[in-house]
Amino acid sequence: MSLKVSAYFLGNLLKYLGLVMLVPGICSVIYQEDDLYVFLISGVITSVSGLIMEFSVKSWSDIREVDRKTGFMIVALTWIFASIYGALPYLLYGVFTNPADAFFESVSGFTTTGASVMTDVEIFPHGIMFWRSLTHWLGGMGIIVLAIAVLPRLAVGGMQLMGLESSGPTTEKLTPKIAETAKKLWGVYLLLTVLLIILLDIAGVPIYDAIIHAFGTIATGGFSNHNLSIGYYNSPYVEGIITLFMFLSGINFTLHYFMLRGKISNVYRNSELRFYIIVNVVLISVITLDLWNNIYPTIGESLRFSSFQLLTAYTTAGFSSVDFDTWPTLSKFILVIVMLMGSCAGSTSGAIKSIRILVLIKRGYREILKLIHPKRVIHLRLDGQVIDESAASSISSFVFLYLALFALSSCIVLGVEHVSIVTAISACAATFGGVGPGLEQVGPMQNYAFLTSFTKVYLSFLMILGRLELYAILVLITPSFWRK
Amino acid sequence: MKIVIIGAGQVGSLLARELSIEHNITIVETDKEKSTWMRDNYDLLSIQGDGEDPKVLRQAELQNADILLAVTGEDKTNILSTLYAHSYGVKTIVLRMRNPEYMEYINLLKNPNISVVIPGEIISTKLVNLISAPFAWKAETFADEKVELFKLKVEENTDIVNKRLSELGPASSWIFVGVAKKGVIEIPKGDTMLEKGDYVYALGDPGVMKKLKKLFGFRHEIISSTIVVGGGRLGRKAARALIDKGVSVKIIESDESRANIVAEEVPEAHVFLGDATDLETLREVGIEYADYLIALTGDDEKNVFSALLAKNAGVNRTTVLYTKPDYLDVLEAIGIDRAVSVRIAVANEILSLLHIGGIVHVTTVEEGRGEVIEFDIGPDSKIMGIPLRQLPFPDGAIVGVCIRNSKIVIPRGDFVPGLNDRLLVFTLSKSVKKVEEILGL
Repeated sequence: MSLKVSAYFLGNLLKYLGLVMLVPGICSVIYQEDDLYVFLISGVITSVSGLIMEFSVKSWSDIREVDRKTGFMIVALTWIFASIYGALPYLLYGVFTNPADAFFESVSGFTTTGASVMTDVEIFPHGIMFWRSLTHWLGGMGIIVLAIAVLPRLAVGGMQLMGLESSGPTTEKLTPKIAETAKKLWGVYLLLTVLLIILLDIAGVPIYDAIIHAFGTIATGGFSNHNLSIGYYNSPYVEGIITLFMFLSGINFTLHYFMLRGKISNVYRNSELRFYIIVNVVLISVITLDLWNNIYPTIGESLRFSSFQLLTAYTTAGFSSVDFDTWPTLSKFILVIVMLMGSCAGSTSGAIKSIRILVLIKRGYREILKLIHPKRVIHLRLDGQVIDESAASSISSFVFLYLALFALSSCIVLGVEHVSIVTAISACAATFGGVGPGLEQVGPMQNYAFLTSFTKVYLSFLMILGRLELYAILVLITPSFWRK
Repeated sequence: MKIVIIGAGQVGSLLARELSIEHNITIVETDKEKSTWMRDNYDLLSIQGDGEDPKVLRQAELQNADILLAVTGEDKTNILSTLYAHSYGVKTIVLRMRNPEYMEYINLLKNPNISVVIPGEIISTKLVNLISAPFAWKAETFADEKVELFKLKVEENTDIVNKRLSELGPASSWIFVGVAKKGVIEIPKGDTMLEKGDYVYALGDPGVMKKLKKLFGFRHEIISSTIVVGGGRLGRKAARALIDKGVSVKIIESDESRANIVAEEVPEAHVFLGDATDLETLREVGIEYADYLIALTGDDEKNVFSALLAKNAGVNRTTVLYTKPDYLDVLEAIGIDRAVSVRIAVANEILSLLHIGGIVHVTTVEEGRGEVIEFDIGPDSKIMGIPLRQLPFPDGAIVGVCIRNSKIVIPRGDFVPGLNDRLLVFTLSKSVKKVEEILGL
């Protein structure tokens, strides 16, 4: 493992992150608000730290390979440091006085969680709120994937770095060159974002709001600049557009790319996508019926709210168009379940991901068949291809670890805070999976501000752990990683 | 350029490492572990599958590739993938072939774009080169044999030890382009000190050999009796080459049926059946009278140990064939005189066949830590007419030799490259990219 290589990589990233911090300054200038200095100072601090790190190590040119340990190190440190420096604008402007609050908000942004400790989001200048949503957008497709797309010389680690950051058990390369693949993925990401901004603007949403919500939607983050979130617009049209784009953001971006290139057969054959669509259709129907029976008078209104809320939980975006905390228990329970499931691998969503659940369902079914015919040879297949046993068993381990950590975290939160069991469980599911709002005390109309600093830092850790799909962080806290 | 490589073995992985920096590489490998390793460590597309399987080749988009490098250890796989690429009109095809008898299949295709690389022949040419320059470690020829690259060892008790390069006097017909100290290679300056055990790389015309030999204090050596370990295709080739030079050859082979083939094919040699890592066998062969041992079995460890035993028994010079790249530094340290790497020799040959961007020939030294780029100045060259001093060459590179009107010129800072000059540039691996940028390759 090489700390020098990690420092060089990190330094390079921070250097550019500092430049990106100047972007929200444009809002300060346009709206003539007093937060311009915040971005100038934060940007300079971040870039200078980056430059110091970069120049403290020798030349990069003779490093052609990054070993595995260093790869883990780079990915974990990138996310931790980006979150720390990303908290600077909040602290400098005085949005929060407690550093734990600023860190929580920053982590929540980069990991596209969208859980907030801001009690009132409507009192802060446009620049600050823009930075908050920009962190979503940067983190959505991945900071490292972006770095590789823009700075191809950082592509030395081959697929390992990108694989660690991207969601899902495997990462597919679209082209032989990793920088090309990263560019294509970011291209699709940018395209979807621009499209959504235009559509929202046409629907009458002011352009600033449209950008904020597009960042939150495509990155499946969920930050809004209104306390009522999407509910503020109270417009079925706006909700419909965002529902559609949340659905799209929950799909593997590789499939979007194939779709744009006209390779429909790759998309059509994809079993994860089918599973994702089926789950959506079935669960939206169930919740619609539940709501129609219990709350809303018309089926149309029930469908409008159920589809939005289901997708926002399933894709782990975490917007709200209505206070779903007042819904019947069945509907709320389904929302928590899909928060743990997550959408497709290779999308911007969090949590376990459909492909893993699909493989486990197939594995479970095979066990039953094996009991009936012990000698029968049955392969696990996905998209017509045989999945090998080691891949399938590593998926089982991942899901177990995920659920175990979820249970452990709920216990920790219950131990530290005086909250209801529903609050604790939904808070952990919502931060671990990158959703944002949970139920009861952390419900859509509430926030995380009342928690102790310890819990905030712990949940921040949980958000990064969930965003990087456990391993990049877990290996770092394993003693044998540090043994020489 | 889009390049498909079939086989991520020793040769394929080295090619992938060299080429993936610049080009779009897709590599096909049957072994899952190797395939995953390639995917995780190099910037390329790695497909796990059989290179004989048209489905796999289609998935690798071989039909749209510019270059196919079929370098698995299986001749049949290489030929079948060549056939596929040939049918789709892939512009450059290079395949590795163990058994030259299969050449006939390639000849049937009548495709001038297909080049065949036969490792046995490359190695035997290399061995013959080495045998003809017994004091140099590496003798590589460039520019239609007008220029040679020598790798010379600074031996103890010679005049050059602890001297600065500038003290060795000006040379008009050769140039020192690299000095390797404990495996770290650098471009020498006038004040670079030569120490015992260093290796010096020199470029010059083949005639300077005698002068260099004197300078480095090598005694005149005649090889009269040689032992070849291993009677495989390579061993037989080397034996034949040595016999043609008038050297007496003894061959040790451990497999009985193969020993019979050797005896039949090379009747001039004495063939012994036995294990060359047994001292008894070596004694019976007459190790105390031999002055040279070449170990050419397919087993690295066997080659090394037979050479060490021979060295211990008083054999002057030993050469071993090895494959594993990790062994290079160790082999020198434990006293093996020369080590010939199959993978590097084959990979170099393939790289030089590709003619990528005006490059005529590329040879790597010290396991790829440095390389010699040979190229021609064409009419649209970026450096034509600019004195070398004004080009932003990095510290890790040096223009070694220029061939102008088939004469060798050692360029100085005021040298101006002209049309149709052929330049040989020596560069460290970290500077390759920069150099290629400057040269517009």
